[in-house]
Amino acid sequence: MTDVSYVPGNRTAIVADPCWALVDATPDAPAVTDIWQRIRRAPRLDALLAELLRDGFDRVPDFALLVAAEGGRHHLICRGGASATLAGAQGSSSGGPAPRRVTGAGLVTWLECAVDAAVGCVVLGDPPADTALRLPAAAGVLLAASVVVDLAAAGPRSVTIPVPVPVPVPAAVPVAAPYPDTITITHPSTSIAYPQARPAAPARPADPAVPVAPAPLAEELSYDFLFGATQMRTVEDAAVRSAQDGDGGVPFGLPPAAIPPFPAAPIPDMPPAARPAQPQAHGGPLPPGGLIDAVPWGADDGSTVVRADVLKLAAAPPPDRIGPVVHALLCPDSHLNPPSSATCRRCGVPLPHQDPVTVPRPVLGVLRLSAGDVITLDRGVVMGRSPRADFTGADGEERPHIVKLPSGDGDISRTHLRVSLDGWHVLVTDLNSTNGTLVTLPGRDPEHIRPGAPVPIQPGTVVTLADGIDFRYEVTE
Amino acid sequence: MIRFCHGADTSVGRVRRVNEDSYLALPPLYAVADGMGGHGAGDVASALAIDVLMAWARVRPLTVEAVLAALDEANRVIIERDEADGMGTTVTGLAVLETAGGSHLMVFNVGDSRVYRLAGGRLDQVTVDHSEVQELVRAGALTREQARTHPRRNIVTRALGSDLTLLPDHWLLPATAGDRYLLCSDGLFSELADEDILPLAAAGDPQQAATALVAAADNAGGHDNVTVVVVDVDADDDTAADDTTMPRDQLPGGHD
Repeated sequence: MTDVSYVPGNRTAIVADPCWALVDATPDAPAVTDIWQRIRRAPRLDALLAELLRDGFDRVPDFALLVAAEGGRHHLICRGGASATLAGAQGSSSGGPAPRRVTGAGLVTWLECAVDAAVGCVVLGDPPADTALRLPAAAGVLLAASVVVDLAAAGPRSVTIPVPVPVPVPAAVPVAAPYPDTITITHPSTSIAYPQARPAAPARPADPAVPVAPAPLAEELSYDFLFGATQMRTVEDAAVRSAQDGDGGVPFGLPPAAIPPFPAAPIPDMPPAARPAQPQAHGGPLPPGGLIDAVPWGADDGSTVVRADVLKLAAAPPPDRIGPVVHALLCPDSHLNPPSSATCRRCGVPLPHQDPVTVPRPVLGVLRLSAGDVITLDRGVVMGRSPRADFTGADGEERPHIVKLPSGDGDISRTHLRVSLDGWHVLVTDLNSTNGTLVTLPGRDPEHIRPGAPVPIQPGTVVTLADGIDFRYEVTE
Repeated sequence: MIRFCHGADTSVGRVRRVNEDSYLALPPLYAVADGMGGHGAGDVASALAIDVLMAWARVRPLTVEAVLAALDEANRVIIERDEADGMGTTVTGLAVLETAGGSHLMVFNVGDSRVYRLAGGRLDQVTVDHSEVQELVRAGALTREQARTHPRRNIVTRALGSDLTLLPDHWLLPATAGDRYLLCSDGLFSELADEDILPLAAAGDPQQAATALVAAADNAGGHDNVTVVVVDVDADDDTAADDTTMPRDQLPGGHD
């Protein structure tokens, strides 16, 4: 249970568990009333931000906003001069981490960080002096200098600030998302022994491929593209668009003659204004239906915009036409879901009404083997006692993971079964195995599946290849 | 025990002045990176990527998760360095994993460098290029051979250093004795057709094969940097699984 107090002052505090805000505006500002009403209806971060942004970005007041999210976490956002302090548990005298101040000063948009409830206490505004008058607050709009929200959770204090990430070091296993919707893979049987510190800045490889060469002259390198120097194109630069995109782009699939000749490619020495290098790295256009689908300012110019990962391109447009795409609905935490879903497959919250977006297919889950290993479902899987490594489909994109399972007594066939992905569906096919495949759907009895016939499975399904050798399909965090 | 044996070679080629390729051959991790970006940024980017991978090559056990984290870190390091416009690099490689109780290989890729598998007298490309011409091949507008010489063959669609959201591909494969893997930058296959690569890649020990391939690419024109890492899978610790054959066991083939 949260315990909220405030120090009287001349800013406007909105106290409405599970949202707390301190806004640099007068209490009679329309935005304050609207925020208050909106919180009462649906205390959702995206809705509140939309309210704050409704008069245009340059009219957004400075604010500090704390909103509870799933799993005991909170989102903290500070814009402009507004600040907040992660102050540790109330009344703790020693031993905790030093108070941590978070501010949006100097940023173009705002700073967001995720706050673990275990952090204890969050102060919106400046931390009050010990002697300051502090009054309890239940719910309402108040004139305040600061608001103290005691998240008052037991357990270790920790705070996660995933926003301004410096070079991540393997020490704390910060396995950052390689996919927009990454499933964290764990190996229960073999915990990873990450180095405690980055090994000393490694010298170049012992057998360096690159002889150290003098810096070349610019005018020489600038013609590299004529000789086929590898270049990166961006989505917008190179998107081979279909005609209905309506921007006069090159229709996808036209014969090579229709492709512009190569000087149209970005060359290394293009002026920055024309350079397509970075923009989508930080703030490319969000597809409709994302968390922020109507920001009033345009695509940024590539300068650093600090925004929490959760808001960032969770629904990034496909970078190319390689690999499968799916239509998806987003939950407030940007988890991707099949268009038919009513609730989020990852966190269970109801999905807001929205139009589906097209995204690269996320990892659909994992297969957790009885041996403890975990196979990522980013593509299909073929399993057996000794499957052929060239087991392949039409081309490499269809090439599945090929997993060899130990089978002491030979119960498992050399190539036993295939797990295939079709859109959002996971299917199991027995490949004429000698002893067959048992599928146990959640809450159902085990059933032998017919050889050669794909059977859809749901999360929680256990598939058994032989005694003691099985796997479970899981959708994991 | 499965053992791995490798050889590697690289060349700046006959046209370029700088070798922007880098590679790593530090068991259990092997990688080739082809840097891009003018003013010397390409070789910095590929070297940064290889440096990060080299640090992670010491992680035990090396897992899929660790390799993906390494790629992600390399991506961030290059983005943060950002010392030149358009600085980036491809990276492709091979990691030896202990998965499902036996040795598996993880082939990974971002960009248009490649991993091939040589087995049974065949050369199979395991990776899928992230390139504009690959999209056209996929759409049926180009053949594989036309793509090799297409004017836009050098445009990659994914690279380290371009986007914080990295989308690497990876594949798990069992480590099979007798298999040979070939990691290379596009300087190899843009000069040599697959049928020219196969006999050179198959001959001799890994170092001899790597040297022969790089020399052949140079002799065929050497328009680009070329880097080759050859990895042999030498012995299999899992012969029991192969020996215990079930009478009715059928080998499926031609699925899909």
